[in-house]
Amino acid sequence: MKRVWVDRDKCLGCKTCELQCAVERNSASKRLALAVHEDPKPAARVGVFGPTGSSFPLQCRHCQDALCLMACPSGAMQRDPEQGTTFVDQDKCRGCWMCVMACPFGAVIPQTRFKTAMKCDACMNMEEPACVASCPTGALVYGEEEAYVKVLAAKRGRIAAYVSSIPGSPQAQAMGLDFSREGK
Amino acid sequence: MYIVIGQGIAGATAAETLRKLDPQTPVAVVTDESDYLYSRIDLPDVIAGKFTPAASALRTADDFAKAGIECFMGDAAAALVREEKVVVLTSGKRLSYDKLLLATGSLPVLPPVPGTGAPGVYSLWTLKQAGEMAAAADAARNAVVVGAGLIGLKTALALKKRGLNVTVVEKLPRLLPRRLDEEASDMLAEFVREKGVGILVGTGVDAIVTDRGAVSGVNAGGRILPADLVVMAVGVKPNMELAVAAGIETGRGITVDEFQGTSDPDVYAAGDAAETVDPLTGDRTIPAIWPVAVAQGRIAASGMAGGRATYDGMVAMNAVEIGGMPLVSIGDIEGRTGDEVLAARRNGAYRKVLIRDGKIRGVLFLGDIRQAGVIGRLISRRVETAEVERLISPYFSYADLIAV
Repeated sequence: MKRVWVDRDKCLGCKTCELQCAVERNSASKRLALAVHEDPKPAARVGVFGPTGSSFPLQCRHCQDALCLMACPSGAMQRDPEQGTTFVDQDKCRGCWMCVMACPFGAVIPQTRFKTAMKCDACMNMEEPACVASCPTGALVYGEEEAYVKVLAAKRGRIAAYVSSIPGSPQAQAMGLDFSREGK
Repeated sequence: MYIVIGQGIAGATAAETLRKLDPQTPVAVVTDESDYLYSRIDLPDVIAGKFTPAASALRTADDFAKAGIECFMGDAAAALVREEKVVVLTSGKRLSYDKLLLATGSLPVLPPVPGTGAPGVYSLWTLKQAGEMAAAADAARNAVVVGAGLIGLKTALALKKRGLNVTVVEKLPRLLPRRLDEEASDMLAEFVREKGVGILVGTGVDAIVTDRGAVSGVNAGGRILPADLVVMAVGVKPNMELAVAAGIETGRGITVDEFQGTSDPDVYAAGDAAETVDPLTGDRTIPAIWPVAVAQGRIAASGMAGGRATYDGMVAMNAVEIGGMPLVSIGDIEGRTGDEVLAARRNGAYRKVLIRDGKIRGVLFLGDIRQAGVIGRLISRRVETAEVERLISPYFSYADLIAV
């Protein structure tokens, strides 16, 4: 299953992904110069959070046992059987906000004006997610789960090696925080 | 044979989970309703004319047939004979079970005031009732809604949309009494009044006034409110008649353990009918919300198929949309003396977080509900919290929990 991965070390907090997501996926004009004049203002499904220096882009994690899917009483929240991506069917969404209440990542965005919930669907009908395509530093990566597990293992190895090289450091358990789900 | 009584989301989830866990054993669903699985949140919209009843169907008869689930619709379970492990239907048909699930849901409560049986008095709980009320609303001019819970408020706004004069009467001094504090209630009341719906809080209903057999008004604290349509929305109670008659242990709902099992090892209960434990307070409670019904349906199915999945409880919570005003309320939002209360009102939104012994106990967001789930998770995980001011900031996010 292909997913959007985050390399926190590379995120500079420029918010280009937010802009591109809003323009590409939520504007009528699809052009930044025009999109900024639209009403309501196009909204992004990815948000760059955290203080400068440790910022990172946060979007839907497409959880395996997704709480939003369980919470949705209208059948709007669905999972694509092939790609495993969760998405909102806007026609079925009744704006009851159960998913907003359930999501522990805050990844579901309530669009109060339209009374529908919106969230990242990993641009499942596009070649590459807009956020990934726009990221100037390569902090956002789109790829297969297996490939990322390898990247992550290497990264964890480096952290563990670094931690154990510090004189007098205890046997610390080093874990990447940008990976909220263990490999298969 | 697995038998599931009740075709709400708890029953449907259980039936579908049983199909997956144990494809060999037949599954049957029994319900008195003739509409297949639908979503109750659509009922006010059906009354407002925004959706047709058919649009709220989540599973049709076809879907159930395809999944290999046998349905007995419109034929209510009349009795449960536990000695013989048999369910007797109203039609007299007898179904034997190996494991049984009571997913009988809830029923609207009618307050003990005279006149609630008169024509023109409605409850809103089923799709059929929504259709009937929509039809009655065409001929009506004045409506009174008794009860300012979420069904009451949403129904009031729906009737207003159809052009009726609507007044909501609530006995308690605030709207959504279980899930709002005073300030939030005042904000919401103002918002609903602006939409043209009258609101009387702290007003009890003494009687439904009738004229030549039909409803003509509501006597609310001595004041007669004219009405040709009255909606009773004072609350719901677990539908546990079958369990009580069969001698299964009950409290306010059907008592279940962490496996959703009842006092009878072959009978399980899930959803609005089941009484579980609130993980935050330790009190026995009936959460009665959709996500809980789904979770319990799955747990019960696991137990029925011989598994050992457990339900860990869910903190009391609800999310509602009232006429364009979003609201999320999780945990204990009232608190007691000594609790730390953070509250802020800005740009028409109200955010409140309640902290006790360094841990978040409750959150109430009205108007701006972004990130409510993040705090909700902190409550259920009982996370120690520092930097509390940040919690009610509109810029609070998941990143605050992990940024280093």
